[in-house]
Amino acid sequence: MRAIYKTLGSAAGISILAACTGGQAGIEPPSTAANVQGTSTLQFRVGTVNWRGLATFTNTVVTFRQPNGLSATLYNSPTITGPAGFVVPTVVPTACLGTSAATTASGAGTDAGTANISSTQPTQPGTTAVATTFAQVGGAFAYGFAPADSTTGGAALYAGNPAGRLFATQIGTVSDVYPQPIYCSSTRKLPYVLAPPATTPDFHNPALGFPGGFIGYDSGFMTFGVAPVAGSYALHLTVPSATIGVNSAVFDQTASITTTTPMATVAPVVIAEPGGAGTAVTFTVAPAPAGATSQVLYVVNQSTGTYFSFNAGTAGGVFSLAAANFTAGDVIRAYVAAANWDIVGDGPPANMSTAPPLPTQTDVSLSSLTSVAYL
Amino acid sequence: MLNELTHRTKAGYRNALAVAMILAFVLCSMPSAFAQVITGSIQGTITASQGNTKLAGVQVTATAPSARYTATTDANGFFSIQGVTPDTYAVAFSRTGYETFTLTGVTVVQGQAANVSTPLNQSLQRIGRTQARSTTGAFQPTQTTDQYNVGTTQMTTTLGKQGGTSESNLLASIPGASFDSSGYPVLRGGRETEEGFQYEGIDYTDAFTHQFVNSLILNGASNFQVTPGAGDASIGNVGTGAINIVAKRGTNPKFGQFEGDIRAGRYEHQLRGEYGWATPNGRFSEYASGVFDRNAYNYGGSGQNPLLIGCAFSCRTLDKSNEVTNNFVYKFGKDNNQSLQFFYDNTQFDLKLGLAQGPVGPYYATNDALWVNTAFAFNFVNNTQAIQAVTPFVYGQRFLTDRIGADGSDRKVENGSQPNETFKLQYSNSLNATTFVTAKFYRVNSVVQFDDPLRGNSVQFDDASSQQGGQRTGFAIDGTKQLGSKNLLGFGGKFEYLTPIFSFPSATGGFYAFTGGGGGSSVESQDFYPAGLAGGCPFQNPATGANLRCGYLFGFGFTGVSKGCPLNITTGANVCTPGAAVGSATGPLAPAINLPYADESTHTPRQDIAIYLKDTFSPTDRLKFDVGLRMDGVNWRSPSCDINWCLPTSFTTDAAGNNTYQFNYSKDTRTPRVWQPRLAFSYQFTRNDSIRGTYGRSVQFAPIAAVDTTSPEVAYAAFRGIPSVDQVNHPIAAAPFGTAATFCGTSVFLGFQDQPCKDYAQQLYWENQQATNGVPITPLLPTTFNNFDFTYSHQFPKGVAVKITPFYTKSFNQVASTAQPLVQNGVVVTNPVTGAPVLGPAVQSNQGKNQTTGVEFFLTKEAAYGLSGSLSLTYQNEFSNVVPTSASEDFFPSIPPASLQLGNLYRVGFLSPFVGTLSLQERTRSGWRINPVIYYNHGYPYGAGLLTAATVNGLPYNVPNTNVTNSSQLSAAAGATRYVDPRNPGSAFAPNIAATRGTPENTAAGGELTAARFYPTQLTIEYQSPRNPRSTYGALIFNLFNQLYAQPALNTRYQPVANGISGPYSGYSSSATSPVFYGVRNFLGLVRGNQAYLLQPTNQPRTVQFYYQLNL
Repeated sequence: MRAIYKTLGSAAGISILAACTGGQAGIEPPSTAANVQGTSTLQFRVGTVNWRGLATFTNTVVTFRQPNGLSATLYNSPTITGPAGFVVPTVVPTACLGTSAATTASGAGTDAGTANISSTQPTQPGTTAVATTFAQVGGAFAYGFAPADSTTGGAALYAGNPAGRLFATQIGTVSDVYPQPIYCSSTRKLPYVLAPPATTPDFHNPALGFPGGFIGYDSGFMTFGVAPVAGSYALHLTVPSATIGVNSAVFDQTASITTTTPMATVAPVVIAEPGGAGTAVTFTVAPAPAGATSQVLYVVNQSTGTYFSFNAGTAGGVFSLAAANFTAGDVIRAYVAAANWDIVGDGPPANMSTAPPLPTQTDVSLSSLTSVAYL
Repeated sequence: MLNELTHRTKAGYRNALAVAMILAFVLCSMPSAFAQVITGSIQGTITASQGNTKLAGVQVTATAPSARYTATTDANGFFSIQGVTPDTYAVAFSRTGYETFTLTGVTVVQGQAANVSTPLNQSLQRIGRTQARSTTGAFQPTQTTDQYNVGTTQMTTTLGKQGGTSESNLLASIPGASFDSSGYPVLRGGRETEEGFQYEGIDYTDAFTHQFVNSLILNGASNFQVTPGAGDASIGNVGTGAINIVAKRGTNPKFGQFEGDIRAGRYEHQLRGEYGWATPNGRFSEYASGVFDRNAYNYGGSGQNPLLIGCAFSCRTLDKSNEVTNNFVYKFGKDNNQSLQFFYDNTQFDLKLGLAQGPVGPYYATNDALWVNTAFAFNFVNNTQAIQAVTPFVYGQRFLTDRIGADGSDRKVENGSQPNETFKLQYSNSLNATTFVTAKFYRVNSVVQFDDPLRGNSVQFDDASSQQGGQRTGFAIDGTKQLGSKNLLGFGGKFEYLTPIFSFPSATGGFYAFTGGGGGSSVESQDFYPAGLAGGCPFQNPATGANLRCGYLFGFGFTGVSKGCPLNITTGANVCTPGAAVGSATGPLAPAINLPYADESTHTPRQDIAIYLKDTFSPTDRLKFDVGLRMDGVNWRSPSCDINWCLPTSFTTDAAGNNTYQFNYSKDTRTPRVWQPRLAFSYQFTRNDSIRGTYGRSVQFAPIAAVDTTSPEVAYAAFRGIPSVDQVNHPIAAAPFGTAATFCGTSVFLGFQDQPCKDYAQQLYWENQQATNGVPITPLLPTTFNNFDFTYSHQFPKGVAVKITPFYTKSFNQVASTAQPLVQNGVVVTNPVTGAPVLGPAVQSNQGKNQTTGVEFFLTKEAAYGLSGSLSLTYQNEFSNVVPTSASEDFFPSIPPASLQLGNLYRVGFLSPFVGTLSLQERTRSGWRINPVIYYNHGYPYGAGLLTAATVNGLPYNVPNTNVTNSSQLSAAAGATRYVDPRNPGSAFAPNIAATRGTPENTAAGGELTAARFYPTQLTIEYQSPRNPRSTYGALIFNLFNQLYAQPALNTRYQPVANGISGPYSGYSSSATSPVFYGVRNFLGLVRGNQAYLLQPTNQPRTVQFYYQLNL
């Protein structure tokens, strides 16, 4: 009988051992979590937009970064609340309606007619989500708002990912980038993507191994087709958790527009092939308007979907792209943004600080579009 | 090797050579044979205790319930009995003037010689010193190959009770064996299909996949033998090891047992019974055994909560198994020296996997229409009625509005069935005292059937119903010949004919294939519509809007069939309106010809042949050598290798741009013959210490499943003679029927369309190949293994023994799917821009390789009463070039091209590096038996790895593993756990990782281990009254620690927010537009859970089985 007890004792001992070593669902594999609330930094600024000399809209700049300068989270839900008098349009503003004669909804969803530019909180899949400006895809990232809240589809979402969300009606084939200004007609929106030679390395070189289809970096600003109103703007940003309705972190920032007078208008870009057909293309940028501290030239070969940009400086000048970047018949488009902060210098990959320097009010002036066919 | 033998000795080896030559001649002129032997032998040298002289004329009688044998010692005192049925014998020695001495407990197992050398004493008081040694203990000093034998007593201990049926658990308790991550037993790290499995000397694997055929239900076994490594020369086509089970035989006195079981914790009951008898003279014997089991439960599957609907898709709900075995033996001739055996085994295993396909399930055309609407970009006008007109009924569908799973249909659930029938007719003859031969004819019929009605919402094969397996018919000869007292010769051979069965027809797959799906290059479905289709031909010219090709086939004598009214694809309602025009929106469907089914099948039989010759040389009782040579070969019976069958390995292009293709087609692939030396020795250097060692080369031929899953062209015979048409490039060609399609031939898989189709049947055949079957390939080279092992064993007092065996195995030419570079005019084709090699399609290849180093440890304690048991430990460190990210890595291995090009090796993911089993039994004389069996594994590898092989700009690199690397652009393996900053992703070489799953990761995939498990630990408490030994009562607790969770699987729907913080959609499909399916939107998304890794309760929960056994 003693032997039976010994045997049973051994079995019991092993049972305890098994319990101690776990083996159940809750502890395998172990997982550690970042302190998003404690380590992330949110910056928010507002200002004015001189849109092609046709209208004055509202500009925003946001940075939401980890200590290493990367985007703080891959998913968050921002909401901007403007001061009294700030009203999100119900229809596309006339100035940026484009060729459409009919009244067109602004796409603001339930934000229309309110002082809120909001996003939609996560909802149970299969249920209808409330339509808002940012919807469920828009969030704040390292440098600007972007439709890049990660999904469960598995594809990496970055600017230009062919597998990502597609905004086919815009210039070229642009995905995972907001064309601006928001609330304007799609034919009047443009993507402001920073690309070589303004940024390095030259990700157009396939040997460097940049993700397929990557078109460039954000410019940090997000413009809305809403008339600016002086006053305080609040950004409320929530980071969701796995449980719908429960946030893992909440951030709040405020910013102010002290003057609604916009920066002067930026002249359109002049595109030329001074060497004749099939040669290098030049882009002439006029000096930036007063108040601007930086100026960026954006160039798109719409036929190939290739993006370029130049840090044009306040003096402007002539910038050139080699003939190798084009073939006859390619549609080349160029436009300029002048701002009172360093558009290129504050954004990744150049600036990976937690909180890049920004002025109290961020104003920007956007040129009209110049488009030619390569000879 | 034979030359070596002839130089070593004398008459014995010369005889061996002569026998080998005769055998070779015989085998070449008739169907040759193989089989693992299922008998053993008893031999020994009898001496006089005084003077140690060898005694001639000693009568030796070996008696067991199942058989009786006699022999007489020769002038050297040596005797040998060949062809001994495995059992435990009493061996009596008698000679005038000497005390008769009986040695009891001599256990004979298949393929081994029991040595019973003993002295006889002239004095009456002297008792023989020799002790019989159990063959199941760890100390086997005369055993040359690494081998483990499990008799009925040990089976009881390991399985918890007499008549335990889990072959898996039994196997996993043996050193060198372990469960793979899917729960199937493997030997020394081999894959599921790289282990030999014999029952009664019959290759017990199915003809198509080489998987075991009886669902691992143990029934009626008298001895369970496992040989890790190559074993001796009688063991063939085994890869990393072999299992050989011998059935019980009828005995005199008769025996029998009846058992009834019920299980608490779930619904299960089991009936089991066995009965064996023999006539007193041993001429007739009969043994029958049956196990009948029913159980219903609901665990495991794709969801954590078994009550959720997702679980219903793969959770088992009902298992039903019937297993019967019958073994009849008739002996005749002088001293019963001849016998005829008829062995029969029948297993029927059925399972049902849930009620997902319930009565609310959609009818077939709904999915097709949805799929066409969303995914198919050809100029197809959405016309659900037209789709319904040409798509054939799915299996089980009786009429157009019949919903699969509705009342009257038996396809409500996903289910499987595995019928298996085996028989053997064997003749044995002890030709004389030293020669024993057997000849047997056998057949194994095994088919696994699966029926997945409307599984998934993909159009391709969503009505899957398949069967696979086949027939193995064989003839085998085995023999042993004792040559003198020192040489025991073994020889044999086999011939088997494998007739595989594989069929995977699909009605919706046909629509998929012949409407340009799956990479197919044509659109035949338009030809199946009538020309005057009311409502218009569904295929239109994108430029003009004109109808395309409708009516083509109607010109060849085909007539259409109207199926009835169309259905609303959203509601499924019948929208037919009486009087409405045929083919109109509300009228009956237009007459049309049904599209053929898509089909995957096989039509490659195979012949397996083998011969072997071995000699066991025993210069002394303590030293033994085993030398053998074996040849295994196959004859693939596939069609000749040309552009219509094999995938080209290279091609030449002439000045005019015409391609000529070359194929890897040689004797080595078509009719390989692999010679395998087997060398082993054992040496007992003290009474309690011995060593042994083995080198053996072994071979495993590729399963037919790896070579041929193509459909025969005869499936489309009805369309022969009809001109082929190129619907894509010449869609509206005029009579005489336009230009033939040019995608007929394997060159299309290399990107060329230069082989015109002979007729419409061939066009359909190749369209089906491209869409569903994949690439016909050249038969593969055999996988070969070099196996080394060495053992030291020691016996302690009180029946305790230990054995430790380090081993090393390395394989070559392992089967794995991969893509390889194209070779044109002798040069690898490269991308003109990047310079990277251009790859062909991913097909099965011989590019796999692995190597395993390990140590087996075995401790046994044998005792009739008190504490007994065994401890089995196995450490194994196995590396392979297969990336361990697939749960079925050991059955469907594949190698990403980049990883192959880099030569990466990974620790295999399907194997736990350290496993052990402790089987204890405390048996009291008062009738109690306490029997815990504790299984342990140190965890299984998991993880996608911090680095992965990826193709960057066409060249292979090991780069950080992120969701970008995993994207299709870089062709890396799936499953990254790190995510780049979506606004600043960085490069493949230096990604900017903004979020991770927060779980540990090692450098390479499979670098982490799950927590250790004690599964499937069990405990038995049993009582048998000494006063009534006929009755036994017991309770067997399964999964004692209730460990429900097995291997974690990467949650492919995990949504990262930040490091270790998951998002709101983790575990869910975020698509709000996916179709409502089975009444639930995103049905799978509801059950995935929000963890980085999914842990599913795939193990059976703790249950208690109460049983009663009645000994007859």
